[in-house]
Amino acid sequence: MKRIIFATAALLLVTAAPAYPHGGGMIRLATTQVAGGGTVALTGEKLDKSADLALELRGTLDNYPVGRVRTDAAGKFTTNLTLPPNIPGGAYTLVAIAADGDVAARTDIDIGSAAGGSGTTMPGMAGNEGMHTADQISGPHASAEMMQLKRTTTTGEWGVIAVLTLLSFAAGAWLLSRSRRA
Amino acid sequence: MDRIDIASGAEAAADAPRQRGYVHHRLALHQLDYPIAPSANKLAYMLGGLTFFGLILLIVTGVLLDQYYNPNPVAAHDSVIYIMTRVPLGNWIRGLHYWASSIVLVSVFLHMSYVFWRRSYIKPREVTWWAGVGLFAVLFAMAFTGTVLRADQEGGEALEHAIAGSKMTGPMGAPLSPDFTQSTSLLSRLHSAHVSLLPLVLLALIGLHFYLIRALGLNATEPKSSRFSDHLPKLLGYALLVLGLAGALAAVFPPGIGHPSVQGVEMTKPFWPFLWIYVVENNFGMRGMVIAPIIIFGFLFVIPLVDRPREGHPRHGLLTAISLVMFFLYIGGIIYGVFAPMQQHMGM
Repeated sequence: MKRIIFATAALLLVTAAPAYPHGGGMIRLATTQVAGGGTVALTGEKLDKSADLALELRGTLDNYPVGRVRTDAAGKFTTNLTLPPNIPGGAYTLVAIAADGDVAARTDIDIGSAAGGSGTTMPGMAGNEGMHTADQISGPHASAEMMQLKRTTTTGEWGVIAVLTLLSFAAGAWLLSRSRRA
Repeated sequence: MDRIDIASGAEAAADAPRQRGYVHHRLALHQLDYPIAPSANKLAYMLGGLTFFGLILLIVTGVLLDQYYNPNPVAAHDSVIYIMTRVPLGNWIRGLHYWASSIVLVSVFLHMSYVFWRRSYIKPREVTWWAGVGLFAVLFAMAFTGTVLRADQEGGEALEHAIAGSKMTGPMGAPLSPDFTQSTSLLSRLHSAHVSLLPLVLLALIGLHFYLIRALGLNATEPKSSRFSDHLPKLLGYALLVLGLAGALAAVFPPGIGHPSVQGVEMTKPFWPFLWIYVVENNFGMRGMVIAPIIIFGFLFVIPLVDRPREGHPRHGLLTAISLVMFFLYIGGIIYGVFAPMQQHMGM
């Protein structure tokens, strides 16, 4: 019993141990509210020295690569970031990605629509901010149809789904047949 | 280095009951060994238990979905798309949640119908029945709030109907009014109700329901010659088959999402459990949306009070007739609602 407890504790320690290969990098924006297609000053510090970083905007619906920077010998950089003009408005996270794919630093940014609207391309709900009313629609139109989304289920995911579903059927059938025999 | 014990097959077999005793003792599993009526092992009597396992699936998948859902009205619809397109297994988990909710609503309806048919609500099981009616109502509330959380056209229209209904019900409907508070949106409050308030009420009612079933037993006159510990694996077996069915349905028929909602437009029909209300609205206007559920749930609530026969006497003919009419109106309303023409209700 003690061995099981020790093994579990060791496993938890190993899996829970935090790893920060890129230190506590920081990026700062001159302003956190920018219109699509606009430019914003960006600085970074406490990053890996003389390292190449990819900058990416991560949103709910998609990710947008927005350029690359190189830190100096002190692990700092300064640049002007130009946002894609067709980026949907909303809340995004700007991340600096190291060469190994890890996120070295991140900051939040609120992007408005390029047309200078409210920044909301996806309306919310009745009686709430972001809701479009029928007589003021210029962008999205009301539709009773379902959206045609590209849902990508990987082979691995299909495998997991198949295994879990078949296991449920098999375990259920086994329990019922055992109960019947008993 | 530790000594490695290689137990023979016989020793391992001897250890098995000891280990089972260890677990049984610490989890007090012997408490599940109480006597029950053999009828409990029939599928018809297991519908309540299957509903419970369906609720567990809903809770597990709901917790997973809530890690990615954003109740901000501006971001809600996007976050559902995110779940469907970018979260690993997200589309399937959402499908499991959707199909589990449908299965639960069917199984709870069948369970209540069977209990009603067997008149299991009569003395001393009135409170057990009322707890079940309360659970049925809470499940409807959860289905409604779940629909709204999608923030698509159907969700938006459902919310507009609820807001209109809240105006009709006066102070009772205040929490469903967008003007209830300015500090947070109605969608956020409905999300809060869906993931905390309603599940808490649901679990409290389940606790009461189970306690009363344990204390009063099932409505069966036969001797209690079976055991709950034998009943449980069979129930679990059916529950796993239902889980497999939900998993297959979620994979083959994943639920979609409509376009973002536009206010002031009615062009969708509600989630199927609400189609009977939709049909009433078609014929009686918005007032029907409030009155129809009051009639149905009011009838279910008062039935143990008006049906108080002596042991062995049949149900009063008039009550049976009313029950049958309501049953067929409910089922017929849902079926008709599928085929009924689209109709504007707001302002009716």
